[in-house]
Amino acid sequence: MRFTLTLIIFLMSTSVFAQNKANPDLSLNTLFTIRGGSEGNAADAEAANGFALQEAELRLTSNIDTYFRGDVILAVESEDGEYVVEPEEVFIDTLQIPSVTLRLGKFYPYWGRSNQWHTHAQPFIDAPQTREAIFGEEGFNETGLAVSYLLPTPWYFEVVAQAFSAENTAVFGSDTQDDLAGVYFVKNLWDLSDSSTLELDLGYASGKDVLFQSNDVYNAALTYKKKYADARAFIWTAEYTQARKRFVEDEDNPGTYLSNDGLSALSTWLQYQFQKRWWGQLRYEAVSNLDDSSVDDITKSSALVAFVPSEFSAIRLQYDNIDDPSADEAEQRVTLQLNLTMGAHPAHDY
Amino acid sequence: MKILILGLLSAWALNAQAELKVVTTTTTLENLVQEIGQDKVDVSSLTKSNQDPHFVEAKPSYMVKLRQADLLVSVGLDLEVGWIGNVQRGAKNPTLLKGSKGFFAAGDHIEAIDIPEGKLDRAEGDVHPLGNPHFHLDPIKTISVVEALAIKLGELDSANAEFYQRRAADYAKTLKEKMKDWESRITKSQVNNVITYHKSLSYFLRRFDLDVVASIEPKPGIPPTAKHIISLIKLVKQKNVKCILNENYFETTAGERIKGVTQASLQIVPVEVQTDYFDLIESLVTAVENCGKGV
Repeated sequence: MRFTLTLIIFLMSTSVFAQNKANPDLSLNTLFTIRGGSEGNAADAEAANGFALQEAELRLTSNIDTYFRGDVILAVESEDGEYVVEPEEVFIDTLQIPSVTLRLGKFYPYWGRSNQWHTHAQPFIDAPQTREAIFGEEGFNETGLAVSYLLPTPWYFEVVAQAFSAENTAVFGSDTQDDLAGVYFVKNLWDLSDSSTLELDLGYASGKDVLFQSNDVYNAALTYKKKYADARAFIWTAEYTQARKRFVEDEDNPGTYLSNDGLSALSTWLQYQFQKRWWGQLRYEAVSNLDDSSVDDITKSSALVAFVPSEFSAIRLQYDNIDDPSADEAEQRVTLQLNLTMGAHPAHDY
Repeated sequence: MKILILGLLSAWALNAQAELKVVTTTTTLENLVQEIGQDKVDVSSLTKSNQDPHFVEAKPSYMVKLRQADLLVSVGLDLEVGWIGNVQRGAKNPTLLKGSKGFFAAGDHIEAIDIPEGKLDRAEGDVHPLGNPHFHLDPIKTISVVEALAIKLGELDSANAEFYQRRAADYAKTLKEKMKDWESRITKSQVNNVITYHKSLSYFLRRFDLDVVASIEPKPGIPPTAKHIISLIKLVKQKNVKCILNENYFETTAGERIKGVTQASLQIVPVEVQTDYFDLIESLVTAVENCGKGV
């Protein structure tokens, strides 16, 4: 009896040990902010004054078997004053097809420079307007399939074809799920020297809006990176996104439709790592109305300084000046963010 | 026409004897593969000799290098954990994934030191859960790596398997002979204890019986505070430490401050191969000798 009991305990303990070794990598990113702005609490809920849990993001990553790798990212964030848990991304990648990766699930499409960044990995506390002004607060995030192919060229040249049930109402918004949107993306990266690179991203997306009319979105982004031998680094990025005129349903009068003018957004920013643990950054953005030239651009200027004690924590202070011609005065905001990572978080893309 | 045909034939013949394309994560591994493989391998390193291999960005150009490679040689023991996975998957070359025939981790072939016990805690800094991954600075452990590499190259290129084995045996023999010279010179230097910046030199120091009094980093990956530097200055004076070995990819300000107020010599030393492996160990031995001479 005693032997049997010992054997059972032994088997249970080895099983638990084996399970621990095979567990997915688990990480939690938490973003706390305190904000003071000229709009006070009249500002959008996202930009209200005071303390806030900007987001908590739970991520599980693991190879599923020899053939597939899985990622699950759950985001906890405040929506209209209540915390909700949403599947930000849930997808699998293939591992065994030479030169090709298939990605299937709900994810941020391969698109532009900034679209695949999670909130904690954004260079600024908020997303660039090339993402937010065009695709809304949640960015460009869809359910579908991506096929990426790495071409046999001397430089990095990746071509991605994607198909999604386009549900992003800011851009597409067809009620019919089988109205697939096609998203095409090309990424080029050249090593200019051992310490500097230039990246050019080009994207085109086409889908149906709520009235089943075709809508097109374009993106281009250029990034230059320089890493110095003494831990300093310099990054310059310029990104442009343009969405054509599309129709959306009027929330106040269901069944009737409003025409939204076409928009373009330009974001450009500089990041300078002046010491191993210190960054200084500047950003300028402009959102333009493509269909009415009499409407002035909305412009946003931001400055940020970040102290990064380790790769798992950062304290960032950001100032924004938002000049919207429809408002009486420019809005000003100051935000302090504590950006923390717990657990085994996968490395970010270059 | 005849010349053209001959040219095409010789190009075909050269192609038929295609070299093994090997990509390594560090210049040290690149040099070891080159020594064993000679003209039968085409080897290159992803990182440079002055780069800290803990913090490397997964550049897409690394993926381009790996796309056509036959073998990826890494240090292992999670040294490259922060970036190598992205490079492997981004290359879309399944033969180089962990567990596949084109992947080699040197750390799988040595016995590691400094393996942490109990639960890991990030408050202790960047602790390597599988043990200290800087084993390449121990020439005897490097012999084990060279022998395992020869077997791996032979598996991928069976026609030259014997050649690789012979090269590895010759290399090991030369290294063992050189060890006697290095050991004797370190003994003569009368340096018994040192301070290092990080734990990169632990295997070298252990092999040559040199005690590590302390590290300039208070914890792995954490830069020194003024308080820590003051405590190090006291320690250097108390224990009569003659030698500060500052790895070349870390800053030297703290080491210079300690040197400025003590008798210790500050030596900035390479951690990865710049020319060849013998020169790397030679640089470290010379640095210890310089400490002994008070240079």
